[in-house]
Amino acid sequence: MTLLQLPTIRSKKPKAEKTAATAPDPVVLSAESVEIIGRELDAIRDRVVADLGTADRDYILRVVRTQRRLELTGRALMFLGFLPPAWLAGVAALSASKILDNMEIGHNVMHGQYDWMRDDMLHSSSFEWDNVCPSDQWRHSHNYMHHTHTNILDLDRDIGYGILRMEYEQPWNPLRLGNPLYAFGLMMAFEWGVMLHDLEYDNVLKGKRKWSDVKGLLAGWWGKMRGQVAKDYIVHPALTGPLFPLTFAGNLTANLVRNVWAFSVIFCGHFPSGAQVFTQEETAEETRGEWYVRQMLGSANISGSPFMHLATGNLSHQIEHHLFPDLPAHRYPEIAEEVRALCEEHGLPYTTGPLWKQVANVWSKMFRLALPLPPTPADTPAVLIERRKMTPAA
Amino acid sequence: MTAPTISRLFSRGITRTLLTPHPVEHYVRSLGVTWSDDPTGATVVAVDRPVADVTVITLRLPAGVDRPAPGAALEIGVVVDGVVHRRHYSPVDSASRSDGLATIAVRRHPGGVVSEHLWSEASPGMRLLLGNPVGEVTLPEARPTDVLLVSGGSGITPMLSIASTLAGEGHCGDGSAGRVAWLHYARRVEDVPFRDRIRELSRAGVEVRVVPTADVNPSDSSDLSDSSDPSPRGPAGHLTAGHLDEVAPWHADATVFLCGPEGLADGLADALGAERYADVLRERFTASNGPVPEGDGGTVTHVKSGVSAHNAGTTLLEGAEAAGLSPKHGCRMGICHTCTAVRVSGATRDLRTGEVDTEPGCLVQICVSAPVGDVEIDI
Repeated sequence: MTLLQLPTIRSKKPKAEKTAATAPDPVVLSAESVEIIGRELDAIRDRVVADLGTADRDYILRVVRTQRRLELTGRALMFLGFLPPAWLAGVAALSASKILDNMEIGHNVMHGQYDWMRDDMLHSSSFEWDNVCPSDQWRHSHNYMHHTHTNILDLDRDIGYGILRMEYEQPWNPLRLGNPLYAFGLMMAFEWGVMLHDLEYDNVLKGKRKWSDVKGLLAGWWGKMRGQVAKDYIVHPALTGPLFPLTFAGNLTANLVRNVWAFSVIFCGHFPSGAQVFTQEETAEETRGEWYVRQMLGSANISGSPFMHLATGNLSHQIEHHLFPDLPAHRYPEIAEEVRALCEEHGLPYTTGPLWKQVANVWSKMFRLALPLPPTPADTPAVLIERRKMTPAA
Repeated sequence: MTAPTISRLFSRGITRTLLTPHPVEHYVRSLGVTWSDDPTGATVVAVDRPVADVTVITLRLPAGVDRPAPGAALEIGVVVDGVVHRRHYSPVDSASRSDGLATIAVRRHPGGVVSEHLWSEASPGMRLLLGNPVGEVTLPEARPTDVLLVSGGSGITPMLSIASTLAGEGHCGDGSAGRVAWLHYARRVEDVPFRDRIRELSRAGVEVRVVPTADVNPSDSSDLSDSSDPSPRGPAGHLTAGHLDEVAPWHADATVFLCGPEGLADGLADALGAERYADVLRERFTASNGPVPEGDGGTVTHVKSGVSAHNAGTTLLEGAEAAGLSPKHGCRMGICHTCTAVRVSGATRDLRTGEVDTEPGCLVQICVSAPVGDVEIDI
């Protein structure tokens, strides 16, 4: 490795000059610090990996058991759907079941967090979630595209999912006026948006993706969608006979609740003020330490109770999740203290806040970005990373 | 089985749709329902430790799960420290046993995760995971007239099943057309489990010899030399053509089954000649964790594509690419799990943790795993 200390050159236009006067000077993180941070984080990972065992297995099996019980309870209560309290309780149980299945189970299992158990029931290579997006497509669009390229403009498709303007670096055009509206639509139909994620429809429109790239996705969608729609909107409603419309509405509501919740949690992960975005140039040939630092700076946590953390699938610990995407998520709270201390030690921001505050922050950003406004001080990068450029591996 | 079992009923369309995307078995397992139809698990009903290093476990198989054919093995999953370890064990009892029970014998290996765990932990009521039965060779439906069984060490179990099945069917003994002989090799006779069963088989007409290969004391060549044993003296030492001639002078036309270590196989090949040996039905020991070679690197065989290439110790992904393959992959740093593939055999090192893993048939991330010795990978 040759050491070539290169101060990072931001690609931001000097348009930000006006606000630069009011923005605090960015922290400059030295290349040495980057390397130290990388080693410390590797040590945390090694320690947790070595400690995985019965308790972690028991934990996830307990969550799965709870989810299944909630689901069966919700389905059973729909048979009493003519009683409003029973209908409401049924929707609540089903919503909770879907949230657990989506967040703490599905998302985390498909990250390979429990692959070490070698249990077919909870292995990333075979797990399917209660969601219309096929798991293999999710592992590509999420685990690979998003987690490898976190917050890199034009690589991380989670920045706006191809339809939203989430960062100032994304150019404005009149279509952006609909930004909050598109966001609302995406929130309500989130599982469908997630399903379409791997399509990269904008690249299809631009002619960058061929029919052959897309064709393979369709069979997966059809297979998954058919089962999901049949279950929630045909078979279960039909089972309740005359209560068909009530059960249909109950299942629809539960899916909506899950969609709104998942969207809200996920949008709090990378877009609140304080989370940085990066360019492809400044992240080319990253070292391990640089990759770690980008994950930390690009992610934001949500503070709250243990119950909140469970309901978010521990994505409330988005920073820790992005550092260690395949460590069991229920370990993030214990890791978080060390990560936070590491950030403080090196003067790095550790973005976090209560859910309502982060949600409000994200929505206000989506409204502001609908308009061609200049960035505010909160939108300027807080950390400049001094890069240690690696020669390509021999 | 005529009536559809509950699990079969439940695996049909409507129930699949009701519970989609999770399979019925997963609901059963995760809800902790003790459901005799759950095809993914079996309950231990009895445990015996007849000799110093063998755990004999009797399992109740779920309704709808058939016993493996004689000679084939059950796939048993045991959870140790949160990790599921899968091993294959041949039931030792007759395939015609109809009470839904199956008995397996597990020999302790020094450092063996599963065998040590079962030795110390197995008790009635314990739940074991169940996979699909496996077996390279099983007793054919149309039973061969003359059968010669040769086994060594843990190879005793599939032979017990074959011999018990044949004996149970009255295939050998007085007045029957067939002949069955069995040579089992063990270091010492007193280490051999199921000696009572072997005596029963002997009485049922199976020409059986337990052959000690070490510490041979002429006055004590067989522990079976009690009054009930029709053949007090037998061969000793490693397999020779003489052993075969003594126990089964008719073996030239017999169907030969073999299950045992390489040394025994070599001995049998010498005794029979290459041409005859080619017809031997050999059940291999399911690859137990063998010794791990020193240092990274080895020959990597890509099972699906049939390409073999030397890998000097780089990742399996890079090795495959250098060999002209293009396996599915994503992040190349071990985080996305898109490149996961089955390591059929051999040892690999996780380059992030340095840990070496040898468990056969396991899924590994090829972008962060390097071969340690020769490896077969399913790409």
